[in-house]
Amino acid sequence: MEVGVEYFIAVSAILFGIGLFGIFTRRSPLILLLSVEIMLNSCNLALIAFARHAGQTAGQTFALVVMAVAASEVVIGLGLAVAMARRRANLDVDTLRSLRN
Amino acid sequence: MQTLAWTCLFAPPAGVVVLTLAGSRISRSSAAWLGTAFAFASFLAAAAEFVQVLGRGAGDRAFTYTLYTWASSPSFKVPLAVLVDPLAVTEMLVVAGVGALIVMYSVGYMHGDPKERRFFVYLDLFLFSMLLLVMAANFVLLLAGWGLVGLSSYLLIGFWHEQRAPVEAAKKAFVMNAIGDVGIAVAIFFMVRDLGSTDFSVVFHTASQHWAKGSTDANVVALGLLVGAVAKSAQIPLHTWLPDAMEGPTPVSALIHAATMVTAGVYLVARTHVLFENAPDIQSLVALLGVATLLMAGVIALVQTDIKRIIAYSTMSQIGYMFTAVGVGAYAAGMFHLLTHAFFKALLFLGAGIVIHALDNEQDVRRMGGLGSALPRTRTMMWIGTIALIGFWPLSKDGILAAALHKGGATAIIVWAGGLIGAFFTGIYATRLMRLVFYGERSEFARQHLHADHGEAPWTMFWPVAALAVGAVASGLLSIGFGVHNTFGEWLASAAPTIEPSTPQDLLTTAVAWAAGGSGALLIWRAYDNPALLAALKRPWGAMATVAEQKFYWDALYDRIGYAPAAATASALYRFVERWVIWGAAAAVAATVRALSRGASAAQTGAVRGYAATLVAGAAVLAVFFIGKASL
Repeated sequence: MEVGVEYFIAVSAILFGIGLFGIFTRRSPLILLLSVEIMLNSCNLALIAFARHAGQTAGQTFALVVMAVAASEVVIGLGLAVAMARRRANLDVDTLRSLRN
Repeated sequence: MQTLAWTCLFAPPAGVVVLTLAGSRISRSSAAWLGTAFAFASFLAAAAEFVQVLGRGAGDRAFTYTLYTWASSPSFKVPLAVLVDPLAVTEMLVVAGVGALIVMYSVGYMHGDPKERRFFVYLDLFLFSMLLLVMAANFVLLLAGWGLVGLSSYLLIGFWHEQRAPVEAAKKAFVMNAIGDVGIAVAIFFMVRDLGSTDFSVVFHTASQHWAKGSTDANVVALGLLVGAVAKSAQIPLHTWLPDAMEGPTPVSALIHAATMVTAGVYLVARTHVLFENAPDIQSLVALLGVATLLMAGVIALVQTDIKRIIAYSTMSQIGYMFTAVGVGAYAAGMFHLLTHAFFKALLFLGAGIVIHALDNEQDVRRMGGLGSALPRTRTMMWIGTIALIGFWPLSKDGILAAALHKGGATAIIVWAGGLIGAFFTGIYATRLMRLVFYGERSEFARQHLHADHGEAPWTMFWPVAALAVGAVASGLLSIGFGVHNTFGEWLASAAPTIEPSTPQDLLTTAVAWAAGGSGALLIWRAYDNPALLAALKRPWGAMATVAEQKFYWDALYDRIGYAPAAATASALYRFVERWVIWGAAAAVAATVRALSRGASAAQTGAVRGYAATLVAGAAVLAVFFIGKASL
């Protein structure tokens, strides 16, 4: 039985919502990174679903690019989180305002 | 012969290249001697060329050598060509000969100066420029040389550029000479427009066909050349740079500001005399400017206290005599005075240089005195120069005045009378210099600074002075007058004719000139022995002395009409245009940008969630927009 594209999109939208919710409610940079990952992967899911629906490979290719970008982003993000943890005790993105003024 | 001419011209620039490329790889004294060697090479070539030209028949002594076409346009072209004729050869000998001696003198004078190498590069550059000026076969090349001597003069006046005064003097000289360059350029424009050529041969032969005698065009051309000559030769009204130029090293004063460059104006008028004869009013103006300058400079020299400035004003005065000569049409007489003056004035400057050198660079004659016993040989040499300057021998000045007397007419008689009065002043200031420096009681300053172990001067400094003294005496033999002979005049006749005075006129003029010069000399000599006489002499001249000390207010005048309005305009522009318009515009732009940036920076809160919310909101707006668009 063929699963319809609308189901994939629904799952993708739900995942994206979860990620967004995480970003808005959590303060720890680690959780924020996880949320961003969830959002990126929800996008990947949507891309692949559409690609299969349309019978083309472009969406899948793009999903691979997104994964590569996501991997890089996690490296930098975790690096920042570690550096931050070394410099100050608490990890709270709301207190990260020293660049302003 | 062609090779000799080019060797003479290009030996000094070869020196420039070699010394520049060698740089600090060779020692300072080797650089100095190399520079001297190139100057002497140039002189030897000039002397050989002279012998060759002398060997030709009297009517066959002018040659034009062309290297290549330097600049060309459809209507006219400028070849890189030199003209070798008696006038040019005379100047080549003076420039390269006196030049080489002075370069050699500099070996001793500049010894130990940290910029010794550069000095010799500049000297060789000057020699090249001056040779180009006198050898050029067309006006464009002449102007190139004219500009280059101005440049080398600028570089050498400002040689000690760590000090303020030399730099200002250099700028002054450059600006005044630039005025003269413009004058010559204007004359060249007329030649190109009307004659289609700037070659001497073409210009001199066709000028009178295109420009009627005394017409506006003829006058403008002659006036343009005169402006150039006046600026370069420090005649009224463009003379104020010369005394200031004494800030340069003494060999420079001797070479550029006495022997060669400043007399280039006389050479120019003699060379282009056809154009001046085509504009008689302007030629009279040459003579009158000469008289005015020789009298004024003679008076100013009476009250100067700086040894070099006394000689500088004397130079101005003597060039005034040369101008009167070419102004009345006695070109060869003017060139003869140029020749003898080159020797005796370089001699006086270099002698003064020995004095200055011996006294730790002191130039004030009031702090000298009684130096005769310490510098006996220098004193002898300077007496030879002084006797020549007063006009006892050589008889070059008398030759000019006698020619003027022979010429007749109002201008020439003014020249004659003015020249004789000038001879009286010359006698006074020349003797005063000798008296103050070498005689009387040795001053306190001299006692402290004169070192017995120092010796009189290194041989490189003394022998050029001696050679110049020999030249000063011997050059007088070239033209004696009184109907005896005028070898020099005959030699130059094809290029620069002269006026031959009758023997009685010559005798009368010489007698009066000797009497005037001699009485001036005697008067001042007596006055310094007798303070009462000195005071009595000074009293009636009090007001005049003030005027003379203020140099006849020329500098003040130029300050008023040139510097002050320019400075006032600049300060007004600064206060209103610069402050309000330019700074205002810049400030307004900056303020606008700052206000906009402040608005934009308000968005940078630093809160990550704020950014995320903005992103999401933006995405939502785009989504609504595109979905709405798609569903339409």
